[in-house]
Amino acid sequence: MLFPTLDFGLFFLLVFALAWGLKDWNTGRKLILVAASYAFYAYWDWRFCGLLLASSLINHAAGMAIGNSPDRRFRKQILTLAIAANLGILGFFKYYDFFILSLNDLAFQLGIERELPFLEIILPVGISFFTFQGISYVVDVYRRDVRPQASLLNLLLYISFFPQLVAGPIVRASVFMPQIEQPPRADRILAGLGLILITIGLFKKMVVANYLATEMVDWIFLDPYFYGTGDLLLGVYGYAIQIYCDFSAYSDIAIGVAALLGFRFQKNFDQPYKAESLRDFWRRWHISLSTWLRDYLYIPLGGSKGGRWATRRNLFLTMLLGGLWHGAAWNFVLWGVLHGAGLVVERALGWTRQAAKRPLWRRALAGLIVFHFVCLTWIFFRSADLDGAIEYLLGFARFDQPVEFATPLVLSLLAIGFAMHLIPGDTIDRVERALRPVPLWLQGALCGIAIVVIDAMGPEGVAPFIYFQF
Amino acid sequence: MIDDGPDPQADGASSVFARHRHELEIGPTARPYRLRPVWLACIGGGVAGALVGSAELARWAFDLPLWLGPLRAGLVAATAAWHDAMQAVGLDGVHAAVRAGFQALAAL
Repeated sequence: MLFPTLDFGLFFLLVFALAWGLKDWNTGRKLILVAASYAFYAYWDWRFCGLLLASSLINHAAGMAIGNSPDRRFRKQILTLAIAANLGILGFFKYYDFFILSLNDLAFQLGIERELPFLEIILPVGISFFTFQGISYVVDVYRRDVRPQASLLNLLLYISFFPQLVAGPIVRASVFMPQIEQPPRADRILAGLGLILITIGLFKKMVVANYLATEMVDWIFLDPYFYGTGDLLLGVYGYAIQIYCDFSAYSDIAIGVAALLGFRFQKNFDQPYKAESLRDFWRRWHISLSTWLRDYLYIPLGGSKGGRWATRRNLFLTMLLGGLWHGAAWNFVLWGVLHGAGLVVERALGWTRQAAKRPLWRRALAGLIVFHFVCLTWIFFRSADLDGAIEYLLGFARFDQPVEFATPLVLSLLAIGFAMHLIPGDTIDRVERALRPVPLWLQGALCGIAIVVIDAMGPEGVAPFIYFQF
Repeated sequence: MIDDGPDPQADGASSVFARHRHELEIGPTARPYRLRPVWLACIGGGVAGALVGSAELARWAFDLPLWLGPLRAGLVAATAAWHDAMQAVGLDGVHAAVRAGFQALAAL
């Protein structure tokens, strides 16, 4: 079930009515939210609801065992088992075929003719997100940052909560659990903010991202061989705006929908293309993933405590695994390698030190370089495979080809998308403040009309969000 | 992503998250509402959407799976009647006009 559909709109209204109708019976409210979340997930493929349940049961049992044991060694063993189980599930569904393909290729090159069998496994939507939430829960219980949840219902809801189930943001147990342990505050609903976020998110996804994809980006990346320098540049700028508008839209809508249900999530994007260094970029892009990688991968690897070379190794490994998390393909691995190498070089050259004290022109130049480096890496991220990415890069030398895609619509969308990205984070607060004199029912009605207008502005059909595939 | 400052102890790594948690809050000054006006906002949004999006509503009902049987037939009839009523007062034109305008821009 996709957010920008009438199906989801009606589903949400039903869940809203039932969940708030049971506000005085917190267990009933949580049962409704869990049932709704599993129904939401089953809408894609009901067979994977069992996987979602299994993940929750494993993490619940592990959390209880870790939290209730005073024996440090036993706790560590259970933590290791729980992480292995989580990663085992993720690895099987996401990476099995990739590794078999790579092994078969290697065997072929070594002259071994026997091939290992493919299973043609369907990737369950959102598996990376709910697996990461599960891991963060058991690790936080182990670190005693959160209490183990005796209530299985609480953990089922934490792992499956539908607004962020399939494409994040990755919510920490320390943020989520306190919001479900107590009955909801029916006088503290951030409804105005939620309506604004939903409207903005729908516009970014349905108009900017979908049009850029269907009018330009998909065509260029489908066969970059046919296009010259100008179109290939437009294609990569277009994809940079498309992926921002697509992914940040999902986060906006998820946060807005959760707000209407009485939940508070944290922001996931903060003007990423304004970053003046790669380190800065990763503080602004997919914040819930980058902070997850920092807390559960980079720091356990040793962080910056083991000296210069160990820090560089840890940075590189973190980004390499971050790339592999995105997809089981060599182009994602290379995307991670490029970001990891970029972070290492940046750190080695001291580019991130005292960045705020630099003159404006140097900061602008740094921003331009970082933006173009990120765009370069998007080519690997978006291409169907490594060969496609190389073909794309080689095409930049075809200066003699005419530019086909510089249409008024595409140029307008690029400008609108980039401008929306540049809007400071507190602008939504200011809009919310400005709308306070308008009665909330009227704000709701305006939101309803805006959704229909946005639907009319977008291209026919609804494209899935890019991050569903991860 | 990565802090330059001293790293916390490995076992307390998520305290980094806890320290910076407030920086990630959305709408820290946003006005909270009581449930009653939020209900009215949802109803208002649904009604307004149905007024100007009657064609989409009718199409949605028509695309429902056939196995829904009489429920589908009832929804198709009801949304078609609703769409006719909106057509009579001219409200159905909003969606079509915006779509035509945007597609004209796309064709430039």
